[in-house]
Amino acid sequence: MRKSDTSYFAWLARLELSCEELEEFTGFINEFAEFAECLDALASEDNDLSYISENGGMRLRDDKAEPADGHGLLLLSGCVCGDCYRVPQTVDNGGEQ
Amino acid sequence: MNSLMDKGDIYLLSRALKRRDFSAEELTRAYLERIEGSNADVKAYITVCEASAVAAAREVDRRRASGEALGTLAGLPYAAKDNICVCNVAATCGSRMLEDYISPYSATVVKRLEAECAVMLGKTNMDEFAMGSVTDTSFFGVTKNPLDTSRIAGGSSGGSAAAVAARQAAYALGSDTGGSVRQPSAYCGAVGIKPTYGTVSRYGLVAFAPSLEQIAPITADVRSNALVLSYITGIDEKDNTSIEGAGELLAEIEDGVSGLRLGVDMSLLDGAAPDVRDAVLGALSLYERLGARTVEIKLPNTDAMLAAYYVISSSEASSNMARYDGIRYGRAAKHAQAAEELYIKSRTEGFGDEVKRRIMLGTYFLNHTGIEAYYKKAFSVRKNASRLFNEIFCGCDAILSPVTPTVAYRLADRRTDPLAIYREDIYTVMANLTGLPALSVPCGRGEGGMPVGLQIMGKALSEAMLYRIAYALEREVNTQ
Repeated sequence: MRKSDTSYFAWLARLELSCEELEEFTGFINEFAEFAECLDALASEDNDLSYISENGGMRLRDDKAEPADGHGLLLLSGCVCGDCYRVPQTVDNGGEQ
Repeated sequence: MNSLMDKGDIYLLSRALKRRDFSAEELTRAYLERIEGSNADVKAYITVCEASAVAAAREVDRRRASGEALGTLAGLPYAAKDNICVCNVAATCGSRMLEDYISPYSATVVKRLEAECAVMLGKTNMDEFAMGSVTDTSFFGVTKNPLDTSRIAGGSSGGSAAAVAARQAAYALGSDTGGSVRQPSAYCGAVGIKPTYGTVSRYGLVAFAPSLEQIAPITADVRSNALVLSYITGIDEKDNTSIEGAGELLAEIEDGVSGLRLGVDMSLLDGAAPDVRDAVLGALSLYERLGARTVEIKLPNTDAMLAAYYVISSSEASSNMARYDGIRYGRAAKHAQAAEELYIKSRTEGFGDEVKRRIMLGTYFLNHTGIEAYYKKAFSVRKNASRLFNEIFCGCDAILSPVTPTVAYRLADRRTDPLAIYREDIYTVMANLTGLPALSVPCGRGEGGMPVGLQIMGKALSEAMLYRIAYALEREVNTQ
């Protein structure tokens, strides 16, 4: 991977990297990619990403959807703190698109 | 009261409260005094909730005085890692990004403890968003090991483990994504467990890598750990990956290890420092003397599991961290002229180096070439590892290994190479990758007199057996 690739991934991640960070992350990702070649030792030709553990967990229950909390209740939890908002903040656009 | 606090046995503390040897308020104030006395040095806590803790303790005393029957945890003060939400209390996740965040709701585990009248003392220090293993990526400073403050406490739940080791809380909650409860427990001489995936609700745990992480207790001894886990485990309608817990955890704890088959991969021990290796081999000899049988096993390729863990956890992290953009969540940067600029400035200023590194790594794995080259392979490794572990457990009841390759090292010797730091998780990540339970219990002393942790890993929902094996060791070590 080159620095230009790292810059592209930084843009995707909405991060601004300094020259030193760009250098460091490029080197690190290349180093990790080299290490990750060992995945082949235990991987098989299996492209199914719908992983469900054989060990009981990660299986989603068949839950029924319920109505969400009201808009008023959500607004109560967003408050102004100094020059920023405490989250979650809900922006009310008055129904405009 | 102080000698009971030093011992750290929840049963003894609870019994003393029931006998009214001292009140819950007195006990809470005593812990608060200890926090005040040593937190500046150890830095186990980020937030201390003095007023609400005293008020909760008074309420327990009032209810007890009125003759109400209260449970074992009633009036016992605990600490929660700062990524576990408690209503109206800061949840910073050790990050500048959430420096001002006050949680508007409580995690299910906190609600369960509230229902038992437990007293929440405060929120503990952690690596930023639980990414790290020294608690040095925290925006609020590094946690030191109370057993030797020149050394690391570990991470990411370093604050929780240090709070228990310094007896600044009767017990603490941490979260374990790749060893974050077991590793600091091992470094601080405490007991920590990563329960079977799904047995403890993750509702109210700020997400880092949801398919890997579990909330879990850290305590001074094995029985206390089983007790706390028994109160926080179970199905939660707010977490649809939650499953029924492992059942009665304490019924067989004193049954000993006679007849049990303990699997050991000797090649894995070669990677540990000599003092750690000796302590683990000493524990194996002790188990054999107690009637257990050692079975040599061969674990699946540990490097491949470590790589798969970091591919999956970084990918999930990059996805979960996307919500911190200064608008939906997180501190907003000043002087941004447009939304795009606000996103970038807020994220660049708000995240520390390690979080940025994981986000970059995850973004790389999730791009169209990374998915094929790494992510799908990592998933395949995960499935194969799960299958292979189930086969191994046909031939043994539990797998024993060190928790860490070394004892807690000096802060001055902190590693700077990220990949070398990741490699130190070699013993712990396999339990998270496969969803299996694993426990850390002190098994001896190593360099500088620091504790060595023994990892006991079992098949799914075998927590009761893990506690039984750990308790047998703890009982022998305590009587020696």
